[in-house]
Amino acid sequence: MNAEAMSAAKSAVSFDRSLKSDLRIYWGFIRNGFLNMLAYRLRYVTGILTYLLLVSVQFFIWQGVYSDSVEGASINGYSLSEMITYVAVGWIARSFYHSNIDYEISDLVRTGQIGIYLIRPVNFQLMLIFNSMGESLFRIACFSWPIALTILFVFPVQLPASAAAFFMFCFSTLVGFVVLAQFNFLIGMLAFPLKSIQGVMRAKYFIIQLLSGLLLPLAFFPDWFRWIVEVLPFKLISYVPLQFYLGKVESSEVAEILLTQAAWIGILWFAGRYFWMRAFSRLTLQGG
Amino acid sequence: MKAFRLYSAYFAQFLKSRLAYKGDFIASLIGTAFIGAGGLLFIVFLIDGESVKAIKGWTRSEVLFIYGYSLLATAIFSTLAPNLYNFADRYIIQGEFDRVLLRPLNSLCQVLFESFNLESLANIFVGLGVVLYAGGQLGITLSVIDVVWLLVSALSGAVILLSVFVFLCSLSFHWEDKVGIAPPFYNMINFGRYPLPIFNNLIQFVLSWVVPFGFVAFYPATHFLGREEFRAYCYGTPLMALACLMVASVGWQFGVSRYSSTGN
Repeated sequence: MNAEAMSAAKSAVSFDRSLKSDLRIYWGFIRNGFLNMLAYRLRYVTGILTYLLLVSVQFFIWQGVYSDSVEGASINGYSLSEMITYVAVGWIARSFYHSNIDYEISDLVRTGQIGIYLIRPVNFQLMLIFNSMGESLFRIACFSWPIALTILFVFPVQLPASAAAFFMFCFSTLVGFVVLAQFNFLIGMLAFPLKSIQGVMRAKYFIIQLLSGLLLPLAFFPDWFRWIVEVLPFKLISYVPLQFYLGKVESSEVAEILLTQAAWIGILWFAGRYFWMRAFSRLTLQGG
Repeated sequence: MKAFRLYSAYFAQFLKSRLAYKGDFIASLIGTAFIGAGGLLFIVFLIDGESVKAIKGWTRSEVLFIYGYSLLATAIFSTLAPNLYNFADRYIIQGEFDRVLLRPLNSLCQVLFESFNLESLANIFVGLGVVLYAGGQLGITLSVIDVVWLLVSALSGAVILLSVFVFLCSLSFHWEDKVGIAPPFYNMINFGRYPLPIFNNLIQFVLSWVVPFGFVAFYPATHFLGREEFRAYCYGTPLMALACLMVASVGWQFGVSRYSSTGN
């Protein structure tokens, strides 16, 4: 055997050995990935269950509310069937539109990592909103539809009033996402003066649920409270899309709603921009 | 006595770090009270007395009374619970339980006393306010025995909540997962804030015998509401708390005996 053949044989052996150890290493990755998926699968199931429970409580409360009135009666303009649809579709939509921008900003401020974003040539506001958009799209692809299927299977939910109504519902939910994301950005800006905003985020969580109309349609509020809610942008997050879904919007009102949506997106954008610039110029970094 | 001094030191240590951000602490207090009060607004707006007079025969004042009652037990529970919420992540996956085991104190008490959610105490005041207001509307006068019952049942309710979540935590000794199966159970607490009979039979059974959140507020509150049909359940509340505590501590001890460190 000549030297060349020897070395070829040797490298074949070493190739074989490295293939084996490679396989072992990559098997480890496969195993790891699988276990991760398994862990996420649990979170998947608990996430769906969580939404199912949230809707269940509301379902029984509404059933109890209508139990004293005659079959098919309506309260404040909603029949029981419409109310169940309102609550169920409202929570399904919430699984799409909610975002954690405020939490992300407060985390960046707390750890001092916010410094990195000061030197990056990207628009901080847009970056966070698009990032949340990615997360929301992921949730739609993997999370919202199984929630929807489960809820539709368990509860008697009405179909959208029409194809156009469904389209406007989807469009308005998207607008709701943008409005909430921008509001969360503003809440996140509070992290600069307060350093930690756990408490504010906690208060926000419930206030949004109430003011967005997720818990109760605006018709159930007393006049003084309804007036406040009508003036604020939060009704765009849940109430307005659900009005479209149920076919409760007159075609003459559509233009006004679109205008309101555009106006609030603009106002919140400039408010966010103003406070970000302000924070930017006064920033003190912690840790880092 | 020595243990008491040590736990006080744990508490003092926590207090120092929590009050580092005073502004946030105060905002947290207000925020927590908001959440408690927010649930009340939902009830007040929903059962306005005109278009909606009651939920399946339960009047506004009764529903409010039960809701306020539930705030008492859940406030005590949430004050002690933050470490139960992220127990698996902090103690098992990040391995902090090693440190706990090295100290000559009860492992569960150490875990509970390393972190608090003091803001939640705000809800005790919200809850008391609501119980007194709704109680006044219902014409309830409190005797000494009633006040003792209020205390005993609120503590029992907190013990039931703690036991359920300690038990769920003890599962993470066997099955490592960052979040585990606890989140839906936190949502189940909401069922216990409303009159139990509005739910279907299956849910009523679960809330009475499987995950006994019905004993957190509804059953003990019937003592004041004069609903005789729940009498046995009502006064069984402390016993249920005791039973839950036993199951939880057995589960915890078994879990601890199976603990293997993460090893890094």
